[in-house]
Amino acid sequence: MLRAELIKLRRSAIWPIALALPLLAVTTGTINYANNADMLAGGWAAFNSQVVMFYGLLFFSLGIGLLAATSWRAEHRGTNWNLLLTTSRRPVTLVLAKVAATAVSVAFMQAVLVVGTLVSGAFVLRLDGGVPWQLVLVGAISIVAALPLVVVQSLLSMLLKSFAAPVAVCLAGCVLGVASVTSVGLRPLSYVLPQAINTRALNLGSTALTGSGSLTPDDVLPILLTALGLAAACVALGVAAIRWVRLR
Amino acid sequence: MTRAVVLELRKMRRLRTGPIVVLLVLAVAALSSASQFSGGTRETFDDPTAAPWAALLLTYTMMAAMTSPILTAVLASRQTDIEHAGAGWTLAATAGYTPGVLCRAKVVALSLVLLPAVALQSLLVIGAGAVAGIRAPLDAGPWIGYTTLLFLLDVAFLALHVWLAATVENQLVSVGIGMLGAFLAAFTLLIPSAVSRLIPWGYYAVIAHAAQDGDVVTYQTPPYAWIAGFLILVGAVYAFVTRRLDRIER
Repeated sequence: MLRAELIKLRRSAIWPIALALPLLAVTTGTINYANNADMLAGGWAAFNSQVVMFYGLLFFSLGIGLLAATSWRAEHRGTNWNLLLTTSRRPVTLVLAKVAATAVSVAFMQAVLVVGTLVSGAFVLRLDGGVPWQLVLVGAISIVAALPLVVVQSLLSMLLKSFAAPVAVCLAGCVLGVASVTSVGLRPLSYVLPQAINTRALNLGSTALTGSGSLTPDDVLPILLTALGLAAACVALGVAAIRWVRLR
Repeated sequence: MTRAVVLELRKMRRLRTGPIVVLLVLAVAALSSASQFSGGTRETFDDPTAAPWAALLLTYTMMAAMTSPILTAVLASRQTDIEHAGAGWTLAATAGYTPGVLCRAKVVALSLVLLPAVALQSLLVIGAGAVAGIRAPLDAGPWIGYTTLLFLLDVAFLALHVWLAATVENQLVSVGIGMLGAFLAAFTLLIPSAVSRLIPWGYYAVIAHAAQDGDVVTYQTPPYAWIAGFLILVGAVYAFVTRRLDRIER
């Protein structure tokens, strides 16, 4: 089943978006850093903070919403859903295959972001200091941290049948996420809201967001464990939904 | 045309366009005014030179630029995607509504929904500012001007996304471009206005009625001629491309 998903993924139109979004983040970050070089404390940390500023708050999560919606779109066309229900595989296989296929494209997006940041920092801005390999680590962490949102968006796209509606729900979640990571009162929410987990993971070691935590086991482990736990819980919810919700 | 618009409004009920718009309007208003309740901002409220209303308008501009392109893309995509399922284009054409008429009716109908929504959004932001305790008198002009231009710009992007959703069946294209546009719109607030004018989504920054000048935020007059030119251009192009839609074979 995973192989079928990967074939669908390979031939889908998501690649331009998955490529353009992180490249746009790197480009805008580079321009912004170059324009304000005198105001920002120089170096890789400041540059990376500029790159993930908008990307981490909103667009990484929205991108995930789009990728998940794309992977489910084919199943809601024609009679594909009925065909899917006749499969002899267990529902959990389908849910996991969709999540895995979406996660592959999310990993691609993050790889583009990290490579783009490193290339731009080293060759365009010619930043001092060695190449910061922490960026690669943050990229890897953010893929795991994205899992809850991948599962939630996949679930929404499965249930709502519409392409754009889950993206709107994701945007509302992002807004809540921004509020939860920037305000003190809503801070607890930022530990469980998938969009906020993304923001926090991408801003590990960043200088733009206060209280974003650093790249230490104390800050990283809770994010990873909550992400995995939440993702597992949502997968269970997805399996239950396939069993009990009557679609069409 | 009127009947086509009424039909589109009927389609919205099952598309739950109303709840989606209300949800996002509330979210944007909440995000724009969240900073008003923090301690640092509150100290500026009684100080007329700090211009708390202009600062609030600038935050609102930022949030609206980041979210409006996505909102318009989502609304337009949902309203148009339904025609791809079950040969809606053909059905409507046999009833006398050609694809071009249908697309224009969709933009008009969605604009009718968006007009009160954008007005409500601005009123909510102003209300939040008043509740938070801004005592300085409100200068209504820039707020009304900004809200009007924001609405007109949303209509322009509704047209773009309805056209995209109608021509390219894969809705990833329309919504994806909306998302990339939102990114550009947010970014253009940080670059000179001369460059923003050349990027369609940059107009979300060009219509800004408030600007940061060093440490102080002041009201400013946006370049109306450029904005009017952009809107007229979009209208003309949309009239042309929807006419072309009538003649393509599906």
